[in-house]
Amino acid sequence: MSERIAVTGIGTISAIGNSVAENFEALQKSTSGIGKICYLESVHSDKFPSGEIKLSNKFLAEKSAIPRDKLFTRAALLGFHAAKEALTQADINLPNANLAFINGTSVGGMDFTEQHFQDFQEKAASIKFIEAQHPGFTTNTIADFLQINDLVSTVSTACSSGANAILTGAKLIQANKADYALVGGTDCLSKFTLNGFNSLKILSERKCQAFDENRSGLNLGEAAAYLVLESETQAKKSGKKILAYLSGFGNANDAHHQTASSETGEGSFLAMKKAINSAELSPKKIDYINAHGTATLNNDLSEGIAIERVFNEIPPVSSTKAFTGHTLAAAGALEAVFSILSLQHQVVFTNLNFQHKMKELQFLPEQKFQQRKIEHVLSNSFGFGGNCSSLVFSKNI
Amino acid sequence: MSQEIYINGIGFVGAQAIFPREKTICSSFNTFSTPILDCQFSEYQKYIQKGAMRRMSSSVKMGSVAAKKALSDAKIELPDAIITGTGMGCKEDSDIFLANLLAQKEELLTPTKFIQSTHNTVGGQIALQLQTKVYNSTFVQGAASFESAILDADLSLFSENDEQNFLVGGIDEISKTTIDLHRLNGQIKKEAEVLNENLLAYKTSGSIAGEGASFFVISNQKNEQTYCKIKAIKIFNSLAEEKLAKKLKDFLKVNNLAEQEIDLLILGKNGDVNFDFYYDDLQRNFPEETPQLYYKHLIGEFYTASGFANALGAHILKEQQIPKKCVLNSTYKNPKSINRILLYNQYQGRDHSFIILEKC
Amino acid sequence: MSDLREELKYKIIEQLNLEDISVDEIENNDELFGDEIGLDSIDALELIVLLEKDYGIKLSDPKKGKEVFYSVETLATFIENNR
Repeated sequence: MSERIAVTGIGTISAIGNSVAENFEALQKSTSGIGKICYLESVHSDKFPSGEIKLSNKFLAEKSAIPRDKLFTRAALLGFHAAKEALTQADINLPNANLAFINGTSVGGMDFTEQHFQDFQEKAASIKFIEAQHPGFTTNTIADFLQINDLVSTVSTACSSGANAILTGAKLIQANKADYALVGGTDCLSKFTLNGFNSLKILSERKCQAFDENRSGLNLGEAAAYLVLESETQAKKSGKKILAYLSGFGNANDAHHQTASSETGEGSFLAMKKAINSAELSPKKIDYINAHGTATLNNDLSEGIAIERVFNEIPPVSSTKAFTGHTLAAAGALEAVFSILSLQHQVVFTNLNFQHKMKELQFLPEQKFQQRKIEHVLSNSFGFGGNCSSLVFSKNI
Repeated sequence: MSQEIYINGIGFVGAQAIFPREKTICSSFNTFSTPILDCQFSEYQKYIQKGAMRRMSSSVKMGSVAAKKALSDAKIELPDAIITGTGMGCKEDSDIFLANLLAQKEELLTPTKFIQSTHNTVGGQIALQLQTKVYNSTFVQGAASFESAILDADLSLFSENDEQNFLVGGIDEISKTTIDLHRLNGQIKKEAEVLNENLLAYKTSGSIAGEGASFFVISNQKNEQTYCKIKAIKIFNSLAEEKLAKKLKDFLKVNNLAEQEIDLLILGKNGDVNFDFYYDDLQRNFPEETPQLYYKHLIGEFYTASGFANALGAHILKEQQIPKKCVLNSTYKNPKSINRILLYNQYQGRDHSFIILEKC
Repeated sequence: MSDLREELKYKIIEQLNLEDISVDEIENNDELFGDEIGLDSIDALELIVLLEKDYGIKLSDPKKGKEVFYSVETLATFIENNR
C-alpha cells in the first residue's frame, strides 16, 4: 500500500457492552452476551439464544438526545451511538471535516418494516415507515444526525458488509477522496433474519460453539461498530494518537453456492491471501486470527480448511461470536474493533464454549484470554453470495 | 478520477430494448400508458443456463443478461471485479418472505425467498455463473447505488497498473407489494393512465415506476471497443437547493472545466412536481443552446435508473447524435461536436450525483 | 398407492420451481439429489417444510433427510409409514 491507513477512532455497542471499554472488559473476563431475547417480539424468542443489546429503542434515543419525532430505526440508533464514540475519539469536527461515511448494513430498518408491513394500507401514520427497510435509509438517518452531507454510501454484502465498508473507506483515503472515512456497520435483531436463518436450519438452540466438533449452528446478535480512518501523514501531522494501522485487505468471491461455502474454502482462502499480500507480510507474521467462526457446520469447516491452507504454522485463532452473537453486517466492523483491542492490549480472546476438536482440522481455537506478543491481526468476514473479505490490522510501533 | 477510466462495454435490459453497439440509441422507443414500466426483455434462456434459472428473481435474471451483454460488447470473457449497485435488491422475494413470515406467524417458512433477500444476490449470482472469484462488492445507497459502484471501480482501479476490466452495474426490480406501497406514499403517480412520453406534463407528485439492469465494462485501458471516458464522479448525500449551484461550480472547477465546456446535460428529471426543481435549477446554470436531456420517461424511475443515463451518454458521445425524444429544451442547438456530457441525478432530494463523460 | 407418487412429483416440481421438468420425466426411483434431478441443500429444506405442511410429518432429525428424500419412492414410503 502506498499511504498507510491509520485508525484514529473506534466505537462500538454490542451485547457485551455499550462502549469499546465495556466490550474489552467483557472480553477480558470472558463474559458472554448471549442470552434470552427480551426486546424483539418473536415466537422464537425463547428458543434461540441471541446476542441482544438489552436497551430499548426509547432508552437509546433518549441517551443520544434524539428528538421524539425523528424516525430512527434500531440499526440507526445503534449506529449513531457507536459512530459518535469513534468520532469523539478521533476528534472529528462535523460538519466541517471532509469526511466520507461508508456504512455496512443488511437488515437496515427491517425491524420497522416488519412491524408496520400489514398496516401500511390502513394506517396513515405507518406510511412514513415504507422506505425504512432500505439499507440507505438507516445510513441516511445516521448521516443526517451527524451532519455528514457529502459522500455517504452503504455496502451490503450480507455478513461481510462491515469488512467491505472498511476496505472501501481505506481506498477512499488512499485515493485522497476524503480526509477522513467513518467506516463500519450496524445491524439489529429482526424477525426477518431470525426466521430467515431458522428456515436455513442454521440457528443453534444452545450457546454457539465455534470450531467445535459438536457445533450446532449460530446465535444471532446485534451491534454497531465504526472506525475512523485517515492517512498516516495527516494523523501524525495533527499529533493524533494512532490506535492501529489497517495494513491490508482482501476481497474474493467463493463462487460456489448462493449460501454455502465451498469445501476447500476457496473464497476465504483467497481473501486471506490477498489481505496478507496487500499488507506486504508473509503468513507467519500474523499473530492472531479473529475468525469469522459462526459455528455453523459449513462455515467453520470451510474456514478452518482455508486457514490451514494459508498458514503452515497456525497462529492463535478464535471466534468472538460466542460473546456477541453473529451481528451480520456489523460483524466485520465489530471484530475489526476487537482486532485493534488485541493489538492495543497485546492479548488474544477466548473462543468461548469450545470443547471438542473438529476431526477434520488440525488446530484448536484459543481457550483462554491471554497475553501474547501481537503485531499483526487478521480478521475474517464471510457472507452469503460467496462474499469473503479479510482485513489485516497492525500495531502502531 | 484517480486515473483514466473508460466504458468499453454496455448491456441494458428494462422497459426499452437493449441497444447494441451497431444500432443507434435514437432508434425507436417503446411507449407506455400506465405508470408501471415493466422490463420488456424475455429471452432469458438465451443467456442463462437451464436449471440455473429456477430460483432466480427478476433482478438476478435482468442483471445476469445485462452483465453478459456488457462483457460480450467489450469482448471480455471474465472481468477482474464485479461491483453492483441496487436500491432495493431482490425486492419481490424479500416482500414474499416477509408476508409469509407475518401470515404464518413465523412458522413453516422455507429459505428460498430468504436467501434472495440479501442485496448482494445479483453480484454473487453473476460470480457464480461466470465462476469467477474476483473482487465482488455491492452498494445500496438509494439513488446513488449505481454511482457508488462506479466510484468503487474508480477507487479500485486507482492502484492498478495492469489492464483491468471491471464489470459494474445497477439493478432494481418492480415488486407488486412495493408498487402498492409506493402509490400509497406518493412515490408513484396516482393517475391510472400516464402516457410516458408526456411525463412532464402531469405536474403531479410522484413518478412512473420502472425496473432494469445496466452493466458496464469499466477499464483502465482504451481500445477499439471504448465508448467514452468517465472523467469525474461526485456524490452528495444531502444538498439544500441553494447549495446546488455552488456544488456544481466547485465540481466543474476541480475538473478544470467551465459551464461552456459541457456540451450536453442528461438529467434524472422524473415528473415529480415536488422534486424536479433541482433539475430546473441546474439547467439555469447552462446556456440555453446546450442540449438538455432526460430519460426516465423511457424506462421509469428506479433507484438505479441512472445507469441508463450512463449508457445513453456513452452512446451519444460515440455516435454524436442526440435522441430527439429525450430533449427538454426547444432552444437547444446541435453542438459542432459533443465532447463532454454532464449527468445529474437525485431522488426525492437525496443522493445527488454528478458524472462527467468525455469523448475519446 | 401410485397417486401419492404422482402427487409428490407434481408438488416437487411446483414447490422447487423445476420449470424444465414434467411429471412424466421423473421416475419413482430417480435420485432426486443426483445428476438426474439435481436438487441441492436448499431444496432439502423446502422438502422438509413440504412434508410438515402437506402431510403433517415432522422430520425431527434432518440427517435422516438424505435417505427419506433419496427418491420419490423413498419419500412416498416414508409418508405411508408415518401418516
